[in-house]
Amino acid sequence: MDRAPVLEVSDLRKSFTHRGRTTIALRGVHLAIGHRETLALAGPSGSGKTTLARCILRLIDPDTGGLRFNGIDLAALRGAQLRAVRPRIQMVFQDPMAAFNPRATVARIVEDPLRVHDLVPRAERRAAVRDLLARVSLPVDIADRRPHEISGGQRQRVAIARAIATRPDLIVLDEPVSSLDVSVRAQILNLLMDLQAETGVAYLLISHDLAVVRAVARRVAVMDAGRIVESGEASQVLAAPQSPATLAMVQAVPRLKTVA
Amino acid sequence: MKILRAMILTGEGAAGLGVLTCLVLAALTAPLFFPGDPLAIVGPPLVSPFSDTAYPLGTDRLGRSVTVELIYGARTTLLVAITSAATALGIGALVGTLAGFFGGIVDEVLMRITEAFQTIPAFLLSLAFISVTGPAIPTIVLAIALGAWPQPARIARAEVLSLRERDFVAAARVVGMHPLEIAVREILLNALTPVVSLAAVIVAAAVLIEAALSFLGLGDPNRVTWGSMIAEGRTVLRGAPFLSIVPGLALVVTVLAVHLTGRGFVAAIGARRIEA
Amino acid sequence: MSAAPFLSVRGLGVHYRDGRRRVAALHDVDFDLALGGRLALVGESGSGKSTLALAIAGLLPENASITGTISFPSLGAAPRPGRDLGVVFQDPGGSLNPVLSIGDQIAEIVVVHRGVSWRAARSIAAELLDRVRIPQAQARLHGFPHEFSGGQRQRIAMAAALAGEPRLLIADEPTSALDTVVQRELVLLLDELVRERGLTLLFVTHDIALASELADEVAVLLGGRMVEHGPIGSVFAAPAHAYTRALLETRLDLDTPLSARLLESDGQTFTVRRPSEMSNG
Repeated sequence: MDRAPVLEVSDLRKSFTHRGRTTIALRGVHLAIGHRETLALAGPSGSGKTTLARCILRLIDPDTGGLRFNGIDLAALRGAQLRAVRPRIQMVFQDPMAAFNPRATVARIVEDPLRVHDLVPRAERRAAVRDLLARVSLPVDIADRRPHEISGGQRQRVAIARAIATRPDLIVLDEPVSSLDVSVRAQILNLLMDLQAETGVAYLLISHDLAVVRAVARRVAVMDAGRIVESGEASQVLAAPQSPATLAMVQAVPRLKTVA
Repeated sequence: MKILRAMILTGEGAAGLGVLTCLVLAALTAPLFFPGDPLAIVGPPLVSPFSDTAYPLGTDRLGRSVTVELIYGARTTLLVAITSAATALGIGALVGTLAGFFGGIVDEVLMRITEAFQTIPAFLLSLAFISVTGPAIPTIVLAIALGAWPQPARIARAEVLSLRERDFVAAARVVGMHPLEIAVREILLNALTPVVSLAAVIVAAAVLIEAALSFLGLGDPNRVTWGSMIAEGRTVLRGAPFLSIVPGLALVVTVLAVHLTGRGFVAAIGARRIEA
Repeated sequence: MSAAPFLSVRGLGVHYRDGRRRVAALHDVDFDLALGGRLALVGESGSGKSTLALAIAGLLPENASITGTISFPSLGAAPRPGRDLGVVFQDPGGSLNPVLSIGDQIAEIVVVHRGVSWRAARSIAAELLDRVRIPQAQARLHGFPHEFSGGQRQRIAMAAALAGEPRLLIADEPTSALDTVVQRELVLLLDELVRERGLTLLFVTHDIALASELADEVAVLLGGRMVEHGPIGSVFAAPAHAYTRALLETRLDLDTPLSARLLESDGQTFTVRRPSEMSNG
């Protein structure tokens, strides 16, 4: 990798205190993602993947640790400065239905990032939305529909259209296909890979589904109890897992039996 | 709107809306069909209802047409009820959203204020307020709203607290929306739905409180209202009970219609949720 | 096979009434399930698989209308919920009453269906919880559902489903809401329980690999119709329907050959193709 990493996380720590009890969610996480790279974050529920993603997106604040994005200290930004950086890091959520304002139309959902950051003059926004919908292979007439009127696969495409609208350098994909039908998953994953090849965007892919991780990610980091316990090339790590957490996950994957 | 259509499809919504529409139409067209002062004397006193076509519902002690008084009374009742309900909902929704969205000290302060108002029975609060400010339409509206706003405030706050944690709010933050825009566009407008279903209850209560205030002589003296009609009829209750019964029935029908409309609204919202 | 099947479904159709519209969820479904058999219902959202499971369990909502027959020849009468059949749902804890302790909930089922005293029922409940590997079962009887993890709640739900000693266990996507490691534990447990009690199992899943591990028969549903049915080994080795074939060819697992783009299947014809790089999927 000859370019500087898009995202660099060093010794990130985060704990939550609720009614006097403290839970440590992140115990010093280190990772880096480069341009046009997909790093998968795998691990059982409760391992801290979601907390890590939320820290990276600055939805919550880490306690200590380094968070550098394109060389900027992301953890130090606040208010308007933080909002100014937002176009560079976007997210696709697990449940597309929950990720949209129920009263919004597809057009408004996709237009929001363009409008909020004034990236496109008002007169050209409708056309820009049309282009984005076409980029994710959605029919143009879907623009006036509402999220509950379209299928799960289409909803996720809308979410992707919204995420790429600002041409981000990094997109956090939080279980992007887990809530979709099996037959639709390949299309969405292929779309994501196409977009990466076109634009050079980096992905942080969170997935509990190791098959998806192996198919789409070059590198994987396995989390367990707030720490990264194993990382490396995805196909290698999954073929020969070293840590107990990875081993348990690999052994837990159901295998198709074709002999009666 | 789809909700309106869905409401009409439910029997309750259709009945409620039907009656309310008639009421509103009657109230709006009153000056057209019955020009002049409703409190003007038009005929002999205490004519029974349905006995004379000139005064379909009879006349009161002073010879004023009950029909005319009833329809003009509708104007005041609806005006006061709707305005006070809107005010209560407006104040409540604002306070509740601010408390829920900002949390912390803002939430604490606003909630203590809300509780303070809630501990005083609404009617007594209105009574006390009117006694101090004097009866006039604007003060009556305010008096009723003061007693009614805590409930929508609580509901709005509860909705906002739950909406705050939802993914689409996080998505709005990730997109980079300004917190104020998130508060209004993403949260407030979505929090309103349960608050609006409270509207029917508040309107119904407002109708009754206004009638009670008028009955006690604390209503606007220049206006005829159903409450004042009932109060007037009190003195001749034995001999001409219709003077109190007719406006009383009007109150019952109105409150019932408002309740049915509210239930139709809730059913329509619920049905749409299942559809989605 | 000369023995009468345990469950026999003939010409089953289910419609939902939505306002003025009728939405068909199932058409013309025919199949038998032998006593002790394990059938997986495989399909995607909208295929009718959950509707079929719920119809058999007698749990369809009020606005649903059924045509055709569902019969249980060996039972002689309609199955009694809880006593003849038990159900485990997708949402862990969704089927558990949040304000009752788990001990009370399970004991209640035992009292109602097995007619024993509350004391005996409580100790049976403790045994069941122990069997589903809830640690310190006796002490945990007083616990409430929210005190347990998702995987544990699903195990408690299984204990509750089995408390009435049913012959048939229906599970509707019992592991879909859980992560892979917890799913594995649950599947192994389910396998043991079904085997040791000689239960007949009907379970709904979208995961064909999971189906192959747990079931010996599979029925594939598409658009409300059963397009394929047979012993799971042969169906997956040589599928008759294009949809089943597409499901098998496009599935991702740890042995799928790696390539730049994944195999996709067409939504109408189910032909499978691999898009070239730089083409829009």
